[in-house]
Amino acid sequence: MGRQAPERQPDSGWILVADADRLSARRLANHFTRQGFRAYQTPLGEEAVLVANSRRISLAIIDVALNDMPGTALAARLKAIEPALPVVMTTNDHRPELEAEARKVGLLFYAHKPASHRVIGEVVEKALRS
Amino acid sequence: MEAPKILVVDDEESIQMLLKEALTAWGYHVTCVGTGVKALDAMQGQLFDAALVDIRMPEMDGLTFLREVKRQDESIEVVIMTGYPTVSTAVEALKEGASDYLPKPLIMDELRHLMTRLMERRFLRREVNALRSRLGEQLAVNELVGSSPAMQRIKDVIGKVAVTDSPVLIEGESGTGKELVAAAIHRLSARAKGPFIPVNCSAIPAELLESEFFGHVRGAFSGAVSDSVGLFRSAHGGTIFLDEVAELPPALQAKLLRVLQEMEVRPVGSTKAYTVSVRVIAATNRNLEEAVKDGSLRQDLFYRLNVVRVQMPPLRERKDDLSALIAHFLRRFNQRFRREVSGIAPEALAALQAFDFPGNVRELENLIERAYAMGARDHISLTDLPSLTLSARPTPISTHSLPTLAEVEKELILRALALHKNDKEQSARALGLSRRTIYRRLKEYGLL
Repeated sequence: MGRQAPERQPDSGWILVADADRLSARRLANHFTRQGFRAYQTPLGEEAVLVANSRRISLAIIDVALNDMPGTALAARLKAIEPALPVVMTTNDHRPELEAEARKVGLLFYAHKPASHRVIGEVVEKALRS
Repeated sequence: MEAPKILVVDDEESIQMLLKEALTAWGYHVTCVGTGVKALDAMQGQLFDAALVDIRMPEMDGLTFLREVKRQDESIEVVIMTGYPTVSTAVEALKEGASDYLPKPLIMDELRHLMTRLMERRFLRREVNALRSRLGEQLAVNELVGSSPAMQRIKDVIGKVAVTDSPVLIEGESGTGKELVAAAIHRLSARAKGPFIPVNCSAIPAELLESEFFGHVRGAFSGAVSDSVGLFRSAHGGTIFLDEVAELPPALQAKLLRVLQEMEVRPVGSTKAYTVSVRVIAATNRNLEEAVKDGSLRQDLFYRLNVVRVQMPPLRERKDDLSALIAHFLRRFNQRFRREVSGIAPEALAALQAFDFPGNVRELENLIERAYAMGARDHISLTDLPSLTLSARPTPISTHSLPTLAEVEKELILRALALHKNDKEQSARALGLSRRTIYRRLKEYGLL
C-alpha cells in the first residue's frame, strides 16, 4: 500500500524545483505532486526568482546546474527574498570544494545525484513539518 | 505617487506654521509637533520620509531625538535646524546620522532645494532597492531590530562574546531571532571571513544526520555515490550554528560531543579523521536543564555547549520594540512588493500591542506580510489583520517590578479593543467603564 499523501493546507506554499535537466525536474516535481504538494519546475534561475516573488515558496530543491546561473547563486537570491526558506541542493558534480561552497548559503540538505526521491521526500516532509 | 511625509519638530509655533505652510505648498504632507517625545509618539506605527528637527527643545533635545529616531527607523532623513550653529554640533549631528544641518533663520529657497535633493535621493534609493530586492540581489536585511532595554542587553552580550572563541548557547522561544544573534556573533568575531553555516537539527531525518554533520565516503551506505565533506568540514575556519540542538538523537549527541572535544571529524565509512577549526553556537527553544533531567540531552554535551548563555526575550516582553519592528517590516515589504504602505492604523496598532505573539517576531512578520497579501495599500488597517486571538497565557508578574495600575488599565483596554474588533462601546461595556472614560483614556494614550 502506498504512503498516504500529506493533507495539504489551503494556504500551504509551493515546492520549487529548479534543474537544467528538465526530465529530472519533472520527475521530482511529479513525485511531490503525488504526495499532495504543489510543485513548480523550471530550468531557469531567473524564472525561479520571479516565481518566488509572486507566490509563497515553502521549500526549494535546486540543482547546481541551471540554464542561466549556478544553482548556488539562485539559492542565495531566494534566501535574500526569504531568509528562512529551506533549500535542498542536488548535483551531478561531486567535487568536495563545490559542496563546501554550496553549504555556505545555508542549505537544509545536500545530495549527490542520482538522489533517491524517497530520501529527498523524507527530508522535505520533515522540514515542512518542523 | 503619494506626497512625501514630513515631520516637523520644533517648540516654536511660528516656525511650525511657517514650515507647514511652505512644505505643504511644495507638495509635502506635513505633521507638526512641539517636542521630541510627541514626535516619537507620532512615529508609532507611521513611516515618515523626513524629519526637520530643532536642536534646542524642552524635554528632549534635537540630538537625543535624532539618536532615538534612528534607532526606531534608520532610513528616515533627519535635518537638524539650529539658531546657534557651531561646527562641533554640525559634526556631531552628521556623525549621529543626520542628513543635513540648517542654520536659522531658515532660507526657504535653500530648504526647498535641500528637501528636493533628499526626496530625489530617497526615491532613487528606494527604486534601486526595490529592483534589487525583486531580483533577489540585495542581501537580506538580517539585523537585530529594537532598542528596548532587553535588546540592548542582548547587543551588549553579542559584543562581548564575539571576541572570544567559546561555544555559545542561545535560548529562546521560536521566532525570537536566535539565528540572527548567532550570525551577529559570527560577523563580529575573528572568524568573520570564514563561513557561517546554519543547521536546523530538527529538520533533518535522524538517519541522515551523521552523514550530513560529518560527511561520508563513497559506498558507506546505499546512496553514497561519492565522498561528501558534510557540515562540519564545510564550516572549517568559521562558525556552525546548531539550531534546535536538543532534538538531536542520543547517538549523534555522543558523536557531536567527541567532535567538540577533539575538533576532529570522521566521515561515515572512513577510518581517517579530519581536523576542523569550527566555533559552535547552539540554540534551543527548550529548557535544557529539564532536557538533561529527562535524559533527552546528554549532560556532558550540555556542559560543553553551555559556556556562554544568551537568553532571547520573547516579543511580548519587549513591546517597546514593536514600533521599530513594524517600521522595519513595512520598509522591507514596500520594497519587495513595490507598495507605499506608510503606516498602520491606530486600532490595528492597538490590536498588535494587545496581542501576545506566541510566534514572536516571526509571527509579527507573517502578520504584516499577510496584510500586504490582503491588499493593504496606504495603511494597514484592522481588517487587513486576522482576528488576533489573545493567548490564554497569563501575563507573568515580576516580583521585582510590578506594573503600575495605569499600565494594567491600558493593557486591559487595548486587549478589550482587540477582542471587540475596536468597537469602543462594546469594549467599555465589557470592562464596566463608561463610553466617555474609554474615549478619554484612548486620547491619553495617543490612540485617538
